[in-house]
Amino acid sequence: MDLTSEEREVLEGKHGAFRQMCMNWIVEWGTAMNAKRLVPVSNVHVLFSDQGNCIKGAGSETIGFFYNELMTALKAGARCFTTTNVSYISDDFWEELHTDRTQVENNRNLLKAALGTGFNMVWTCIPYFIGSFPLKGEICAWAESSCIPFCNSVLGARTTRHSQTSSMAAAVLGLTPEFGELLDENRIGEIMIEVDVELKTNTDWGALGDYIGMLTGLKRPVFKTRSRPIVESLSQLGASLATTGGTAMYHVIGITPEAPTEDRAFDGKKPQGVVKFSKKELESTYQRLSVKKNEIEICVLGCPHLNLKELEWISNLADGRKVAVGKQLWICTAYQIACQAEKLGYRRLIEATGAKIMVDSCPAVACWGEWRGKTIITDSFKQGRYLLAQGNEVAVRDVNTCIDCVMEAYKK
Amino acid sequence: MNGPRIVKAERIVGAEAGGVALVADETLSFWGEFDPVTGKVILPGHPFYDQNLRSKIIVMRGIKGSSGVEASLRLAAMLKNAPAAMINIDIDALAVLACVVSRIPLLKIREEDLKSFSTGDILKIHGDKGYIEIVHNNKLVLCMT
Repeated sequence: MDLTSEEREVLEGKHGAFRQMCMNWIVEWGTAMNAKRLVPVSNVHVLFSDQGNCIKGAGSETIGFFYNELMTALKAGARCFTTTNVSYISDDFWEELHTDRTQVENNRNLLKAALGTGFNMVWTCIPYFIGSFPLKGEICAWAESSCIPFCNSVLGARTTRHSQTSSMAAAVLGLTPEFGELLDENRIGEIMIEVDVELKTNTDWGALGDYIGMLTGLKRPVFKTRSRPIVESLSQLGASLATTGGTAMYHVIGITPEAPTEDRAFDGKKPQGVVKFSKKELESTYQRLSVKKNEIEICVLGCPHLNLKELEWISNLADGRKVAVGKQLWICTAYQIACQAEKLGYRRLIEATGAKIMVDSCPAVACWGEWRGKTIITDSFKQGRYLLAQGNEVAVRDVNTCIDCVMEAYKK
Repeated sequence: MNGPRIVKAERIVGAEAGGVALVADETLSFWGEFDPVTGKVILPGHPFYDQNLRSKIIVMRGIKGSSGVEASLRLAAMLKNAPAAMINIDIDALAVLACVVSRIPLLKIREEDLKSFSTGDILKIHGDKGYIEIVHNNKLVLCMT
């Protein structure tokens, strides 16, 4: 790779051991991915949390090692606007979820220490809904599998896939290797997906991604649909594509910014393949993730985190109803959205039903080890697949059905 | 009857490694399907289910990459539970990053070369020189007994 003299200095350790380690990571990664150089980033979304229940068995030395690394990153500071992804720990429910107290304190310390460092500890997977809005062509370093396709496909900004180390390095160095989706040729659509069934709910769009991701994997699908999405539909589509396929970028013809027409989506080239998605595929996708309705114990809503529109909808659905005895309803959102919901009265209304609002975190990580063997319903294929992998029985259905499964009927 | 002793490979990460091979024409996600605390594959039905990957050379179609994979492999490496090396046909950017950070050598082979390897083979990886040496071919030994 061609490094600037300043980049070389960092690599040689002239700007501290931590920056050197970060630079080593991204230079070695970039070299392996055939990047010719590093480029500056203006927007970073970084995985930045104690790993909570997910590393419970690892021992205090290991937990301490990761905590110290995050503290060191804070001391080094972020060189551009940086937000943090979902916390692995639910500070409101840590006792119920048997999270280690030391780890809870670790995250509290990180939050306190973050002031003035440039690391905005928003702890959400929807940075774009709470004020992080890179524009078309803007070079970003976004971690988190649902954020990455949103950045590339919906915003038209540019990011490769990232993990914790590379996004942390991007924040601290303000640099990322130039490969993959940062380059024009790696953003062109590859596989045509002809959707001839109506997609009526955001979960239907999630089903589309769940099915197609398994077929197209790391390739870039281009969707030709009759139904017009709203932004929440694309949140679900990207999230499920990323889960089953590892997809970093897709196009929806006539909707996403780099696909105004079919021809432009493929840059004038012929698609590498065509896949049809019709009623049969939609139904089979739902059938794959189904359970006996009367066995449902838990409902999870908010993967990715709910935005205000979705929270308002759920508030309307839940108003005047109660979560059924023996069942749980978890509603997950970002702190900023929860605050707004509190001011508007939605929070009080939702919590009066017996539902639990999980802020900053996500059951897929916060409830790790606590829910094995449960029967769960969710409106997100991403969340569904994560919980399935953790040994649960899972169904994925639209939000209205989800609510109906764990709440008693409306009583006047 | 003798399998090839040398298999060409492209160095993606790292250079030298040696160990016993675990081979399958499958993918594996180190997040969710592998427990870094025990070093075992925990996905029922997987060819390596309940096997300990510590110090083994994993020869597979690919690693399903995600940010969770990095966290898992980093932790495994710290607890000395990580594989000695990975040999894949398909290379995933986040699997590459995970190997960089966990210091696990990763090499790429052609699809047709996967069948040259068997579980139980003893391999020596020469990443810088661009090949893998099958020091001891397990299939061959089985045939001879």
